[in-house]
Amino acid sequence: MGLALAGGACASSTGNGVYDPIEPFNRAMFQVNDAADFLVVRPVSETYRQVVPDPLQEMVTNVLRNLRTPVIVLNQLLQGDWEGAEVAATRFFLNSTVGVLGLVDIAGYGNPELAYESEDFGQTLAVWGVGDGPYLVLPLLGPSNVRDTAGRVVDIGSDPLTYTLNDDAALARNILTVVDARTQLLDPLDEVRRSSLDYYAAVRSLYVQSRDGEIQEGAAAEGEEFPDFEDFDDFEDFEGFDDPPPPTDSGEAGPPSNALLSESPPLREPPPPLVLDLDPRRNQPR
Amino acid sequence: MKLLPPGAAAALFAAGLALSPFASRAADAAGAERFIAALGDEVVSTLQRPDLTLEEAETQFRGVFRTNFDIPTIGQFSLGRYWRVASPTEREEFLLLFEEMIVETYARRFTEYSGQSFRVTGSREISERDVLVSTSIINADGQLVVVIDWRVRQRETGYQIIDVVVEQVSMGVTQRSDFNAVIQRGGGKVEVLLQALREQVQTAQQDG
Repeated sequence: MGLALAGGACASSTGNGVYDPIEPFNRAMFQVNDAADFLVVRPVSETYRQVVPDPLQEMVTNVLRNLRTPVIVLNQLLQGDWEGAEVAATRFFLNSTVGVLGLVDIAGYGNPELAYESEDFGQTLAVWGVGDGPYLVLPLLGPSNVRDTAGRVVDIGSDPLTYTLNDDAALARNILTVVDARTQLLDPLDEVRRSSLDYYAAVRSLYVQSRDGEIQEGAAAEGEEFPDFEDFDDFEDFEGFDDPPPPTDSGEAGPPSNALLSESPPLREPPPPLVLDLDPRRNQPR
Repeated sequence: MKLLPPGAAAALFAAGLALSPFASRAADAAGAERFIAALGDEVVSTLQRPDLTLEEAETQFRGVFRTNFDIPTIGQFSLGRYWRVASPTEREEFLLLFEEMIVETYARRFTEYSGQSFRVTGSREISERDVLVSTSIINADGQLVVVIDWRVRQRETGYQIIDVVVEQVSMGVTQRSDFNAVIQRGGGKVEVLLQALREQVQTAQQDG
């Protein structure tokens, strides 16, 4: 399965060049999820945030994270990150004992070196060089891609708790995982919805970026990518390359109507050579 | 935002090409850190006024935004490949609406201030002229709220912010994704985005 996904260049996208060939389906699924969120998940999470005291919410987060230790250690090892595996194991032993069954993150408290780091098989595949494949919005689970969806399946299969927890405990864990995650996203997602024009596109971009961030943080980064912010006034340096003004241009453009613009160079067509820079994927890692 | 005369800029650029050691002169990370620290102090001291109204907050924010953010560069980036397609009038209106949208969206935050402080935690050069300055926003009770990285560009005229990265998510990249989706779904017309921005700005103003 992994090999099939490996085809094509590693599409770690930092720009809008997210590969989304089934966008109409994804948009529909996104709306269904959004409706379910509005009706159920969000109200439950809001109530949870209001009713449950903060320290208790934190304990829930800590326990859930502690329970993920086997999957995290496994994937750190698969990624060849011995140090990361050691951190996860140390956290587990400290937090399960001194931290009272994982309720308190005593290991990570004020100690960035033992801070929690999430790992999963999707990240492992990425470290192995598997591209993310088409973007996917999963029913109820939300934003993903083909690689991370495959990763999820492996994570469930490789988690010892899948086989040891009884049905009730497993259900409780799943519900708490969703509520815990959604609660932490209440404010950020509200902000995104308010400040974006196309909520779907904004969330897609957020998913891809934060996923890339996680992958780079975990792996001994092969070099971070930063989008190229082509300098606005660079155009002045390339006067010779300027395209003729488009027909819609009202001559040499009337006086700018704003103090800010009046200090800027006249707006004109950027030269072709710079166009290449607009795609962040082409950015060389440092 | 004072710009060099075009001739001087071109001359500098040519000199840079000719003398590669000069061209690869590293961005000044310490200077960028000082720039962000000073800017943060300035903003926090404004916010500590308890009687700050939304109107005042907007004025303050607009001032800070215009002086310290390179709006044309950010706007051009977030329009992506459609910048080339846009007519000069469309570009001009886009930059105005873009500024307006940011001010309307974020000025409100200024009134929600509740004792957060911020600390510069480090910086690194990410290109020859850009430095990423990392900061931690800290609660009144000393807890880390969020990590924000500021991408600062160094020019002869000083420093300006060209991107804000919140927990690994770049505002510029997100906005570009957002804007491009609107244009694509509008049949590739920049005017569709302008219309959406006009509405967004209007709604935000009414809410305020």
